[in-house]
Amino acid sequence: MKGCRVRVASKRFGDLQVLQGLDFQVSADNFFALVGPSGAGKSTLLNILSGLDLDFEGELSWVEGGPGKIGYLFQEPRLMPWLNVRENIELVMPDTVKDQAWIDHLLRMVELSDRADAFPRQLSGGMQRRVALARAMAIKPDVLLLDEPFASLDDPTAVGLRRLVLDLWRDQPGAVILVTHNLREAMELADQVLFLSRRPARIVHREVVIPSRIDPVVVRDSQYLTDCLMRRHPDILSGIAAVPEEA
Amino acid sequence: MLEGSAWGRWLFLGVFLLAWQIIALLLESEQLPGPWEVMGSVWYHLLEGELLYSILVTLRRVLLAFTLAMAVGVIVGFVMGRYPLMDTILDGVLIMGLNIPALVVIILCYVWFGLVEAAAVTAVAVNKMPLVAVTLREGVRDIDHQLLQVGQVFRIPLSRRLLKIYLPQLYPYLMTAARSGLSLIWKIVLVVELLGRSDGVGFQLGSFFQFFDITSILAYTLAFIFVIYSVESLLLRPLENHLTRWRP
Repeated sequence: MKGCRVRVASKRFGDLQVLQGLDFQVSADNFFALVGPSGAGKSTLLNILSGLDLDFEGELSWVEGGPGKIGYLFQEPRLMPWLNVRENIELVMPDTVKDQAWIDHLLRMVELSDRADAFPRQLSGGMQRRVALARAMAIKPDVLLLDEPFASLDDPTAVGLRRLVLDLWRDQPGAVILVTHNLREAMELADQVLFLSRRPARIVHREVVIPSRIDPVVVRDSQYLTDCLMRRHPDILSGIAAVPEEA
Repeated sequence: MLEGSAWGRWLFLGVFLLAWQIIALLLESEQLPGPWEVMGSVWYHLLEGELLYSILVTLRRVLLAFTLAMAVGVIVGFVMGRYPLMDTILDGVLIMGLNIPALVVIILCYVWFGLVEAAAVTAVAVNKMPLVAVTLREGVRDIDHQLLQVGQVFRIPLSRRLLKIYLPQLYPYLMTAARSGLSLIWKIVLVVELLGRSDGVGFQLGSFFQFFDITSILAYTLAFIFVIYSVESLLLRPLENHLTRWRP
């Protein structure tokens, strides 16, 4: 698995500076969460990480040569409505014939084996997201980007999908970067949470939830962890850390 | 019950034929033969005359002009939709092309290239091209960039990107262009034949006109309508159903 050093000195849209002085290391097999006020530039950062946005000052340096494979779960599922579930996954695969067994495996993981021939519009919102997740995992990404994937889902569906993300990650390890505004969600899933300030966004606090992932199956009390964090940094969700820290 | 079923169409056809027969009987005029008489004439031209040959000749021209117009129109429309600069440059030509009378194009083609097959096909194609280009330009402007980003992030090879992400978004526009284009071509190709060809349905109709042979004219028209319905129901509609099968 490849890691990546992310350095974004500055990113602007015209006169508006969105990101400033971001520098962090995405090591392989790490689960990151990025939390920040809305409009802070979280999605902009993901677009830079995914290679969609090349217009910024700074660089992404991959640890082991060449750029790593990126899996991206967008905010909306972004499935091709004219391709069925299986074809949507095949779309991103390098060799569609050879990889049928792998696709079958993924479909079993996301519990959609019996809907492989269905078109996206015949599926519920939660199912569509599971297909999109299977598609993102299909390329065995070095880095999996998740852009608020659980927003706009009802609670049981979101809980199921969160568990699925962890299952898939255990099944197919790599770095994960989850963007969310839901602090509890971040504390529940991530090893490390990076907190962003208001625009121009920089990292104001890095919370290490668990130093190393010995047994990822351990259930955390994410509510307790969240409460503790909020006591130490009452304004963290507005992008302000209690004690100024080095990012 | 009749909605959307084939019965609705057949019912209309039956009523239409009946009305036609009654009016023809009442008028007893040479200028309006009844459907029976016309059917007999279709049979006669099919066996004795050149009906089948004429229709095949015309169909060949339709096919050539259609292919040419679609190919050029799609490319021009794509370029105009994709690159605003080209849109600005070509927009004037496009508006002229859309509005110039078909007859002018036909006459100019015959004058410049001579009374040859290529001139006839070109004249028809030129009349249709702007329509295809306008439709495709809309389609390209409507492309969903969020879906294109999927192709970019997952580094999908270009050929697959075009085939599976780009093209399906254009299918509805291509179908519209094909449909409206085809109906325009049917109309213009006969005029082109009448003016400068010595075979095809248009030429035959011209000859019948000189003899005031209304029955034969209607017979040819009927045969022609049959061909158009066949193309629609055997080719266009199945194709459209296939391409839009993912819609619920």
